[in-house]
Amino acid sequence: MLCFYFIAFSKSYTNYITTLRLHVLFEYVLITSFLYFSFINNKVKYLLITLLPIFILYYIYDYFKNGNSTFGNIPTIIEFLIFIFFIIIFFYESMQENFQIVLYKKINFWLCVGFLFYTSGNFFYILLVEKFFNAQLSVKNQLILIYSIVTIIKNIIFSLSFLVKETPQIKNNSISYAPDLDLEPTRTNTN
Amino acid sequence: MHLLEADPSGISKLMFIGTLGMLTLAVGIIVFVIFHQRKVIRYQMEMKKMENEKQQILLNASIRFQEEERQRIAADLHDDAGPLLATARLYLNENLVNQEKAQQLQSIISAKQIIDDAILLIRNISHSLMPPTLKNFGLESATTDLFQKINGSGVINASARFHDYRDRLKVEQELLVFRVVQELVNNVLKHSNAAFIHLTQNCSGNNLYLRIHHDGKGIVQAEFDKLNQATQGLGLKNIASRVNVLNGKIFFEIDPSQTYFKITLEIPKIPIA
Repeated sequence: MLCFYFIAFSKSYTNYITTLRLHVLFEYVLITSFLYFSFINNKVKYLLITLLPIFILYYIYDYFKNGNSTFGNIPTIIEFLIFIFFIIIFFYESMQENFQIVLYKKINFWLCVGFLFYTSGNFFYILLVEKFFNAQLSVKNQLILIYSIVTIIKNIIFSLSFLVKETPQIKNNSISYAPDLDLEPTRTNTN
Repeated sequence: MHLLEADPSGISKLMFIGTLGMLTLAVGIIVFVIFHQRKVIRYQMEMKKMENEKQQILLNASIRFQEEERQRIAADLHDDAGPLLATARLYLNENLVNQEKAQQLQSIISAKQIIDDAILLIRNISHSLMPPTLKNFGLESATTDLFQKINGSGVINASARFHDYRDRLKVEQELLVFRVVQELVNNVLKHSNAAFIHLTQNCSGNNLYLRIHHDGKGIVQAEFDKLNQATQGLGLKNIASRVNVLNGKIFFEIDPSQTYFKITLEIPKIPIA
């Protein structure tokens, strides 16, 4: 809401850039939290949590280094790469699971699909956006069109994800053994 | 690099191709994940179908076993108890009152002897249906008793040790577990040519664990599954069927030392209400 307010009503370029930077930071924390709760593997969770302060520190460093002259497309690209990497890990983890329900009947799957579309679709846009600052209006419109299409697809996928009905998972069938069942000649008692 | 240094329309083309490539990759990943999962689910469904067929075989085996058990009891009653009681009746016929006193006494003694035999026979049949030790004193006593009797025969060194059996199971559950143990022990005695058989028991969480060790010829899980699928042989199917009724698991393995076999039972506990 804050971002929307600044982008819609602020005519200052500095405010606009600051808002975009805040948006990226907020987006990173939000998606990290979502992925954290989606993963089962603790090692991946640990990696995700470890990367969070590193990214925030780097982002702050980038802000102080470049100020408001750029909205920070390099940290955003890093953010996108991190998310693409973790989303692929999420898919891999889901495939490894002993599933009884179809993957596309899980809300988390569709949210990840939405994020994957968003990050991969906007990857080149964010990477090259600064090259277009002095471009013609028709070129800028083309870029906005691509960005808008990707964002609309992402939003449609997000909306669809809320229509998905999840079914409970069936218990796993692993066997576990109690201790003290093995032969211990000193403890055995011939009756 | 050439495109990056070119005019914005060149960069725009690069961005367009790049975005299209990335989106294609993303779609490819998603399609792969979905199709792979569908494949796995189809495989799991086939496995489930096979499992159901296996259950059906077990159920049939269980019914067949019940029928055979009934036939055995009927035969025991008809062939043994029936003639015994008929003979006793002959001794105690209407002419008995017309006979001499010594002959009367002899007939009564003979009839009594036959009736005692009939009582013993019926008791044996009854005990084979429900061991009294199991009913009165529980699984631990019945199992220990069973192993004591086997050990007493001198053929094999048999022993049982219960580590934690403070809370008894439901009577029906105990009977099923006992039958499984009985069947396993019978199999070991019949087929393995073992020198020792040892049973250990323990509990963990809500599960009861029993493990039978023996040093004879044994089978591992894969062989058990294979034999279980076979149409012939009731013993193992009965074991599997009973374990299934108990919602438990059974696992056949050889010890890493390769010196003895282990059969482990995992049974979820249903305590006496």
